[in-house]
Amino acid sequence: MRRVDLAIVGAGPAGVAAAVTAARRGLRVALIDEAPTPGGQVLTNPGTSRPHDARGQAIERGQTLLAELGRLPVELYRETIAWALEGTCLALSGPESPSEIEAAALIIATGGREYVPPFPGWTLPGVMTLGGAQRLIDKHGVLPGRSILIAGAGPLMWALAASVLENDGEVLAILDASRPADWARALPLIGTLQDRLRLAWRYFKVMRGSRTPYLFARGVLQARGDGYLEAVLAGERTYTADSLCVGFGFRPNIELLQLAGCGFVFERWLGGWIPAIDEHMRTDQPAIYAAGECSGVGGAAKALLEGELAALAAGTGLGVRLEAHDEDRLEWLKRRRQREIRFARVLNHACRPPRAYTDDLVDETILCRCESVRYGQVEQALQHGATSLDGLKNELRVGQGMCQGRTCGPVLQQVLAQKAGQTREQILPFHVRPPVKPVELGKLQEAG
Amino acid sequence: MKHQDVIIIGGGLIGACCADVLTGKGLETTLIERRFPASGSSRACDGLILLWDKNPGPEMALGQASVGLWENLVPQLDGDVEFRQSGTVLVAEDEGSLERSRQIVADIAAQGITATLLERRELQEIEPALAVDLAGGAIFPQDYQIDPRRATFSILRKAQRQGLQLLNGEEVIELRRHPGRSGGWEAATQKHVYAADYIVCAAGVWTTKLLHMLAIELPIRPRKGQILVIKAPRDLIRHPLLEGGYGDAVHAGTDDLQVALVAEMTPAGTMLVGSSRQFAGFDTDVSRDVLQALARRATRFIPELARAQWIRSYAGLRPWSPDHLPLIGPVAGFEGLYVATGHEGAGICLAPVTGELIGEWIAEEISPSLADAISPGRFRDYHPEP
Repeated sequence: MRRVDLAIVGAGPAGVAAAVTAARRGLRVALIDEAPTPGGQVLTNPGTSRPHDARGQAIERGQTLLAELGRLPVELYRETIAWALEGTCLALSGPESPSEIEAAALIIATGGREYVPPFPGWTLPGVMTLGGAQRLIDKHGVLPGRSILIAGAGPLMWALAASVLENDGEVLAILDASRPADWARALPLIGTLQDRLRLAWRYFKVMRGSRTPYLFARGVLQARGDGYLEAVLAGERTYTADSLCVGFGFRPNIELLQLAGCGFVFERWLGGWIPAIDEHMRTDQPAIYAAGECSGVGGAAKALLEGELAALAAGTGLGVRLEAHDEDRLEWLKRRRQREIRFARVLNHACRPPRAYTDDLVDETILCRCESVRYGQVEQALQHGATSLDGLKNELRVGQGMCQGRTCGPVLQQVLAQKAGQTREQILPFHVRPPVKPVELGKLQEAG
Repeated sequence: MKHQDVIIIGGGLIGACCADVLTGKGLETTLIERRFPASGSSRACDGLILLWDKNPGPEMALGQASVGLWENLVPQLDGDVEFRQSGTVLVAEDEGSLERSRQIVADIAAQGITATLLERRELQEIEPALAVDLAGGAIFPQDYQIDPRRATFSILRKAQRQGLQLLNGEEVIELRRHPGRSGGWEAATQKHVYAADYIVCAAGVWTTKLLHMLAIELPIRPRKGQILVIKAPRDLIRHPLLEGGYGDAVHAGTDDLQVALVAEMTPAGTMLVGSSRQFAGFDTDVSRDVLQALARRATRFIPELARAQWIRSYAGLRPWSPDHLPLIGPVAGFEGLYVATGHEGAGICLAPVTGELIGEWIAEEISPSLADAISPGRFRDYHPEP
């Protein structure tokens, strides 16, 4: 079995920062990622950012780290899935990875996924997430459609609009579901985060320059079309669109942490259920750390800080002696992280979907697309007395398909909270067993 | 709440079938389930209803009666419980195993069940995805498949229409004789105290824990099984497949881990791959070594599966009984107290007959003909080997 000092799952900003930090201090590091290249969504598809704004700064720092990663003796396992773990021993499946890695310490940096509450027609081809559309443009140079409607909440919407416009695409309108008043809460913080303001200003200039209609609209969208998106209904208006890009922030990928047996806390404005960690990113399981979006949704800048923080803490745990400047750095990282978390809470609060998305669900709307389960069935199960995600799964098979509940889990959590008269804290995520992601059966056979 | 005729403890398929029969006979019945329907072993099993693996005698008699009851029950249910007569195919790895299959076919045909031996070439024609070096097998066209969870929910809904009071999320923490009424019982949960003339403990492997409260010992042990869920082409296998050694693994008296291939397709497009048998207490975690052993058996018989996507796994607990017969009936010395458990891996097959038997005892007050063979009291002098 392969043995290393530190194994890191996920090579996004947090994972890369952790790998570089640990390898610099002489630790033997394995970095595991599902993609063919390290960097995660943010660093692999940097898009059209400018170095002086927030996104640009995080990307610049990330790319510096990526370059350094290439020079350090880090074992990088590409296109590799960590599908199970026991303690700090990981089961892997990838073209060049060993089937198991035994690490003295483990950092889980599995990132987050975009959140889209279901609405009528959301599974039509032509409807995609903001991040999916951004990836099409950045990675493949393809616009998501000829007439694009952008909807949802948060900075991803603005970034996408700017990308489409800068690539001579047409944005029909931007439908912002946040309330201007929500953003006012960010004002006291933005003074300390001026780079964010610069970023917002840049997006604003691009959008204003193109005279793209920007509307605050809190109603539920309706996508219509015969086999492909043709129109979007938003309140009184109907848009003839062949592309609807929609997103409402992120949810953390906690499945591997669940499998590790970590304790969780419910932090609604950091993405819901997140691992209980201390200020050094330590979970309650020995030698297991969490960093980046999976430890609380807050963006690339937060993830970079946390990756470094986790690696320093893990290194200390493994007997690496910190220099005086490391100690200072540790304190600085902790302070900066708190600032990022404060900002993240405001941002996530502003990006929440309007209540109408759960209040006004209609029977035909699909909630679990893998098993084609519609809201009407869920409502019936609730009337029969279902009160938990696992109970719904038992009755309706929700969460049993290829995505293993990643898409419908957070949605059903919201529906249960609102319709079954429970608090969000009472609704636990789906129970997790291996494999946390689909694996070829042949790989299971080889393992160990 | 007013005094009930019967309280059933346990909302698995066995409890649901008891509830259906009792309410159907007009008894006021309450079912108490500590989590939600089918949240124990009924959701962590496969959906095969087999007759060929039953031993001649009471086991086969129960099996045949139950299959008949399933055939009557399913058309009365709402929703699709995916009940279908897909038949099963027994697969012999080598000549020795084929010889064993020949024996099984002869024994089973003597019981009046259709069974046909398959030569190597015939097996390949019926199941082209099987490895080419297999010796042959047998086909049992009368066997059924069902979705046990859907069946549990559907049968409970039927019972509710007949007046069942279903209580989810309440756990019985105390069982005691009714202080006021002779022969009556009280079941206390965290929330309420419920009273009835009869108690039916249908809590599967957890029945032993319930009866500990009354200092009653039953020799039921949790026999753990683990299952792989695989995304496979819908027509990869055309019948549920079981390997030749399956019956021996079921009946093995040893504590060692037993692994024998069982593979079935579900209409949802997934293949369930088992089976393992081990005694591991009440633990329902999956373990890598067992999952790997299952994967090896699966790809040994169906090589193409090596490239299929493994998407989930789960583990469940079979209520094992020492003589491989269930424990159904009254508990001697505790008037009004009944148990319905100990079906090991045959609970899905035997659920309807279990409900029927409980109904005969409680509603009709007659003692069924098989009463002695399945009596919970038959183990009074049973002492497990240390």
